[in-house]
Amino acid sequence: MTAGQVIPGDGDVVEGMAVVDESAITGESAPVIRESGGDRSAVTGGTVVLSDRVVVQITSDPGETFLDRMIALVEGASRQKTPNEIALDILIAGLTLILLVAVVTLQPMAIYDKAIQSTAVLVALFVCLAPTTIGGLLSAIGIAGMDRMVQRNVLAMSGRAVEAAGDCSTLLLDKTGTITYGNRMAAEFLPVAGITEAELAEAALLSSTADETPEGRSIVELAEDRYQLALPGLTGAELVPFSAQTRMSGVDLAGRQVRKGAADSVRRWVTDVGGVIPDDLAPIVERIAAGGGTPLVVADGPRVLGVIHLKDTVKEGMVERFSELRDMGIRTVMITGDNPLTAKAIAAEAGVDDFLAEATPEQKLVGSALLGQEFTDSKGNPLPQYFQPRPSAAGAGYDASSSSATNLGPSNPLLIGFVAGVNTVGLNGQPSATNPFATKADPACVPTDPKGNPVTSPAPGQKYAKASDGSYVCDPNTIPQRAIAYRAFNGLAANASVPVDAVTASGSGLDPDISVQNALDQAPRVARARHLAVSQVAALVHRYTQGRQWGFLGEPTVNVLKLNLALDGVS
Amino acid sequence: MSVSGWEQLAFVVVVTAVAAPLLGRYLAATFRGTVSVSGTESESGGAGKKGAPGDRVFLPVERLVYRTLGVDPESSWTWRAYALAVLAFGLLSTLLLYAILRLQGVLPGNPTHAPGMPQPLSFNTAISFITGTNWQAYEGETQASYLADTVGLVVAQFTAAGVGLAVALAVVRGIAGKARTIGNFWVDLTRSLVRVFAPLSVLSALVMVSQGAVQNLSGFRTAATLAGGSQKIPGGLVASMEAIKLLGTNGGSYYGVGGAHPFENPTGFTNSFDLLIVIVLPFAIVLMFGHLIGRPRQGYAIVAVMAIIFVGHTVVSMQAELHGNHLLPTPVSQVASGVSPGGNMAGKENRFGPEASALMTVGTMGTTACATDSALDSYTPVGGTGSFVAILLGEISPGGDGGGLYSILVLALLSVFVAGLMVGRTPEFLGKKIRATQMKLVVTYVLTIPTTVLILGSTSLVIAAGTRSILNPGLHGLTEVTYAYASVANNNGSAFAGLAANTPWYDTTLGLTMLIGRFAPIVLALAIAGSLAGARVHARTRATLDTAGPTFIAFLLGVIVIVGGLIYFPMLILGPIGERIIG
Repeated sequence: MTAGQVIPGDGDVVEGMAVVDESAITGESAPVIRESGGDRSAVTGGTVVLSDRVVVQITSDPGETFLDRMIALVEGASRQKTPNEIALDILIAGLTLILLVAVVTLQPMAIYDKAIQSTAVLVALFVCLAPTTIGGLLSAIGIAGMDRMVQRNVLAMSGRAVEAAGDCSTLLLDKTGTITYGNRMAAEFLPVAGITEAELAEAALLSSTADETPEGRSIVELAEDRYQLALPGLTGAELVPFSAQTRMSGVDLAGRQVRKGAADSVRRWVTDVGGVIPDDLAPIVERIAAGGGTPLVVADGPRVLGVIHLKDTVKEGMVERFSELRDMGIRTVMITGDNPLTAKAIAAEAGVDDFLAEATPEQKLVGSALLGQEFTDSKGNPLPQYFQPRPSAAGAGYDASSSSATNLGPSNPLLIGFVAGVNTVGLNGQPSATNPFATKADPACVPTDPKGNPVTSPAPGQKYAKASDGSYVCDPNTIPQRAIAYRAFNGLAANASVPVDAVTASGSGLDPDISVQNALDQAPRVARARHLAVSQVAALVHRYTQGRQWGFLGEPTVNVLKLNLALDGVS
Repeated sequence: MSVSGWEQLAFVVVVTAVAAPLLGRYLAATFRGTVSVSGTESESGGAGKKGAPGDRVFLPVERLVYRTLGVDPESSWTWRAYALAVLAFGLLSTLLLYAILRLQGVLPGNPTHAPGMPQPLSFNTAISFITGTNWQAYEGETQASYLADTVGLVVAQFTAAGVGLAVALAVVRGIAGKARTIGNFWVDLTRSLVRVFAPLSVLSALVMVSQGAVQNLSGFRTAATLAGGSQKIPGGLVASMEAIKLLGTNGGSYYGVGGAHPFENPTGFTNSFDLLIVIVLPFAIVLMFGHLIGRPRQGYAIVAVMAIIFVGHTVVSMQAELHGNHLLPTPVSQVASGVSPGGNMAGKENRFGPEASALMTVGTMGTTACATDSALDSYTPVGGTGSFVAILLGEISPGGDGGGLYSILVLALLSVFVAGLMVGRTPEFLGKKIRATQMKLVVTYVLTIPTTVLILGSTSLVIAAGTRSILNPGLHGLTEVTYAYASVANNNGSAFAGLAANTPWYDTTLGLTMLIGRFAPIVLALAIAGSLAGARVHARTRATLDTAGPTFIAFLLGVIVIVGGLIYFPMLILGPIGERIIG
């Protein structure tokens, strides 16, 4: 859409920014800015683009735009009657009835008066008397109400909504971003005993340089403003970006390892690198949390330096606005997923009537305890910090909508590879005594073609994928190949025994469990990836081992999802 | 209007403005213990835990009554139970009064030797007095024995007033109260009678006697007139009946001509006094309502609406009567001066004159008292219309004891509903939402009386049984008939006395109309109260419609006039207005 064009329907701006005249909807001729991203991207059909160029993605169906709905309201298109309309109907019906009686009884009186009225006159009288205009009230009120609300940037989707808005008695509000600014801003640096504020600030600044989050930026700002520190040169520095898994960020520079992050993450890291946690750290952290803030602990190598206090500031004017709402008889309730201490502090500061903490968006569905799931990164590589489940032939892997087994027979080369004396074939496809495709690592190698498909019936002229050293590229899904990968991934010796369930796909493709041995084999790798003691991880494995049911039914198993959730400290 | 006319009107207004608030406070103090609005009062409809004025004198009497009746004064009932009690009480008292009237010929206390009242007349009279209509198709002096008067009719006048006030209290509790129950009928009735009507009646009767009203037990005394003839002068317990007739907004007079009779209404002062004791109590009840709900301003707002209508129809009639009957030949002077009352003197007493008569008659017409001191049938068309309109608007200027309050509250609900729709919020009155349920009841309430009046009135005009009784020809006759039905339907009881209403047709139909006109609104008002009882009270916010402000007063006036006007305007055109135009 370019300047001068009328937007054809309700939609979202996906690219660009423009000045839009929305007077068709709001009656307000002062133009507004609509831009992609953020919460000013919605545009309404019928408005005019005044300048620049935007790309709008239409989100409403034709005939269902905001304007159409307003028109439908006027036309009285079928929708449920509001309670007020029902009551009005009763009133009008009653009045009509009595006026009908008045007109009908008029004739006998007229007869007595010797002035009989013609039917036409009586009908005309009734038409004049009958209350009709009052029926047009509600639609007019509905439209007027919708218009008024739109002027205040509230879209009313129906007349009933306008009525309901007038009857509102309780207002539920989200905390972060609604009552508060949403970006937790650094408010102060609190060093532990023996550390100066400036030292803490410098370390905080250093550790936040790589941090692209608003929190990180606010830390940088605070350090620069209050302590007049300049952003240090970062040549030769290794930046450790913030991630949801580590919950830490920092920088390795000139032998220093500066980290900042969640209190428990940093504590763990410090103990891992051999440091000691000072006693006065915990009280500072708790005080900040009780005050409604978020504490970030900063450490320089094994030394804990202090805590950064991130405050989620309440927006300006909230207290006044809430008391205005209270005057209108509306009760305010704040809902947040934050912990109760923080929520209580913010609620008291903002002045809401009540609050609900630790609310979860609908308890986020992580998965099912009965179905396995993958723990791979976006490229499909298994994540070392998670226990890996069995191989799966369900779709691309643990696709719960297409459960499947491989259905490969026990001597199928796709399953067991080319085993000498069993199913080896020669380059010409004829049975042979040895496997011509064997590689040093894998004697049972099944070759793949350049596209990666396994070749189990070689024919002359068949092209094969070859590695850089000339050896064949093997199909990774054979059991021998899986075993090799398993050993490599878990740091086991080249000939170490591999539990069978680790290299075979399950019947459903959705088996949620692994064997205890499988879990114990993976434990050291997981412990390394998470900087935990192996014994800790093993203990966890045993905790999540389910024995035979009733002591004798089934097999002992370890549920991978529950184990991984426990590892993440969430379950 | 002449100067003296304004003076008399001003006198009435000023005295009412002083007396009504005082009486209102007394009433509020008396009944506060039974109404739990602010939540700090007792939750039951009990006989008042806090002290009310006069407890030392009245409480023992009340307790005696409760013990005799076997009533638990602490209990509070639902609207159904309350309505049932009202209806049962009405039925029993009607039957009792009917028996007394039928048997009065053989019962003692009959110095005037009135025979037992014939059937259709007793049916009509019994219903008439129990419903507070006091439509008297009978001749008071000759057709009612003293016993029937005192034990029957006067007692009925007391209870009618008491029932009205009791129902009003129940309606107030429902509309404004926090409890789900609306009170105890026996407690309300007893309290009303013992603390309000009995003492005030005694005081009023004494005032009247001081002015010369008759109060004796002598029967007819024959006087030898100067010219040599004889005149039978009736005695009677007149003043006592007068007092409750007026105070209880009943209107049933000892004498057939009502307040025109010098034994009832001997002086100009008694004329004004009569008017005052009729209207002060209904106004006071509205102010009591305001105090009971903790919003005195609301009471004043409703009083303002009533007062505006009262002054409106009174002034119009006074002016019309002063102007006189333009159909009289010119040699007849209708000019008002110090030597002649002037105006339309047909059917009026000299000691009152046209303006005072109109003031008193039309003034009381806004209540269900209809205490006429002049012949309505002889009023000019416009003057008569003043009375008619006062009745047709629903008896809310200021209305009967209690009846005026609940009638205007229902109309207020209607107005609040329409106003609420215009504002765009769910309508609410005194904090409670008015929804479809209430609207159904309100609409039924507003419909019932007009439907009855119009259907029966128009039928009477086309059947011989109806038209036979009409005295005056032409459009005036139509007014006679329709006025009769309108009057009894609104429990007023006044009549264009030219209508010979003591016929089987009229006795029966008017009797039925009285029943409908009294008990249907009571039951509906109680139902509305029941549907709002215990409903959630919403806090007053900036956006709430102010039902005590001038806007709402004007709006309520508008609704009353427009709704009433629309329904009755055709009838009025064919009656009094038409008569004026073509006459």
